[in-house]
Amino acid sequence: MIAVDNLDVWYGKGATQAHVVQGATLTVAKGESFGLVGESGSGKSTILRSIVGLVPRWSGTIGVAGIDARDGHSGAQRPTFRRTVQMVFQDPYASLHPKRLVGDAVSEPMQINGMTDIAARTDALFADIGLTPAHRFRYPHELSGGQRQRIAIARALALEPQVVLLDEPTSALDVSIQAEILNLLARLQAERGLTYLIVSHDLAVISHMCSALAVMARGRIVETMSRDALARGAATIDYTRALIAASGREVAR
Amino acid sequence: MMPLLQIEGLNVAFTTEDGGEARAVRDLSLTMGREKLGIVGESGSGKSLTARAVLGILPHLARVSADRMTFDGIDLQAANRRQWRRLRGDRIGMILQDPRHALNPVQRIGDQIVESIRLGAANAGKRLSRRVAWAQAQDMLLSVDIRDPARVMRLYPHEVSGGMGQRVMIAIAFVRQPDLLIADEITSALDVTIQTRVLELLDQMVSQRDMGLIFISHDLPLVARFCDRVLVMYAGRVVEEIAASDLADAKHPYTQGLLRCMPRIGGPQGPLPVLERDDDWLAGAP
Repeated sequence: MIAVDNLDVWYGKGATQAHVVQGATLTVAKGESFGLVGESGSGKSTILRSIVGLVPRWSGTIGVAGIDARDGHSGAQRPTFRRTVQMVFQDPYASLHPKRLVGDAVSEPMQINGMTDIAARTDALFADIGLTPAHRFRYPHELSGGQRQRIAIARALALEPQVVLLDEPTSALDVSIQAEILNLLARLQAERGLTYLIVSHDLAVISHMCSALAVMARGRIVETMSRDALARGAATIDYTRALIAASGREVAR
Repeated sequence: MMPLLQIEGLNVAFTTEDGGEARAVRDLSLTMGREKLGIVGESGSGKSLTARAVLGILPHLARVSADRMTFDGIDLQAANRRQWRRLRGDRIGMILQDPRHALNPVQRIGDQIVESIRLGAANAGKRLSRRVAWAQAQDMLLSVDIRDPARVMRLYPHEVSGGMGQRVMIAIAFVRQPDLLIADEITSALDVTIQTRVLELLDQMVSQRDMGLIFISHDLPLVARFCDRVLVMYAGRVVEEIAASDLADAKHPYTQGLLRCMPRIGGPQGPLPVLERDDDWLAGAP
């Protein structure tokens, strides 16, 4: 469903040019969840941004649901590509328009794409993410952090995509709210057959949600492993081991 | 022995738009010595407001009352401006979450540390030359693991990483040698590996100087690893006080719920347990 092959991304130009992703390759099968972990600046979010076309200069190949991203970002396939792949960002306070009712934020992509029964679809989406139709008439600042992230998820699902890219979807939330959002994402995935690519700095979140993951450091994928291998402690690279040790969440008995 | 900090019956409240009262901190009491005390709870549980009440830096609209609030025998509620100037920074230090907001963006890092050192000296009635203060600042940066202090001191805050910025904040707090340090979510914005290093540093500095530390965080396991004792706050109230080593045996359903709802590496993949909030918790009942 997602195939990224030998991806290179550069930011800036000339003397200050930075080679932020170097030769990244990954594939995600339909209905699977794949995790990308690593520290800030390691290039994980940049991979998501290059898939949706938010990065000006890249080389390599990116394919989503059989569509070449070069056609998807600008060519004739653009409308189809936009409906196929959607993104949820870390901070819904920044990604939702502060002066627009959240109901409009969710229905807007449907209007742009000429869908029908928009009001009914919006109500159904609100029910699906655990809010009521009355929440449509709120502004983002009138909702809690968890509710705002639910709205961002509803907006991403409005076009009935096959692939959802999630960039640190719960790192701005308390653990109790994180549990609710992760449960919601897992249920939506099962019901709709979604494919997820999830970026997180939290290995426990990735282990919970994903069947496989890639560890990134300084722009490169340094290790790709299955969820089971992670649980067994089969990390082969020191950097991954340090990451696992540092994200130790167990409260000692 | 006199406790370092003693609070009894602290309440902080705000007036809501409809004229009602929002109680942000409710009947909070704590007594601490020269130890590492963790305060955990979700956003809005009153952790930071408690810390700000100790320093007397709550927003003007906050209504504060307490039966007792003393620091090293000094009645904080009766302290005048001169006394506060000697307390804040000199005796009670504070480090905040984001060094990019806490540091002055248009002043070089070295000048900000030097300013803190010279202010401390002036409060003690001493005059300290800029050159001596500069040398002291360099030594302090070395002790927080910054290997090329001369270079870092010439930089502006936006030119350093989050981890480096947080070490600078620790240095600025420690040059005054406070008796109590309040650290409010100081590692939340850092990567996990850097988080570990910053905590090691803080631990080392606090132990060496025999100080008290109030460590505020929403990360329960982190607090358990790092602190001696933990207060768990829910909706402005302390619902549980527990030795960090006993956290796995926490009694309060809220504390248990917070621990259970976290995913684990290699844990089961089904739905995570969700926290069921009970109105009884607001009354402070266990």
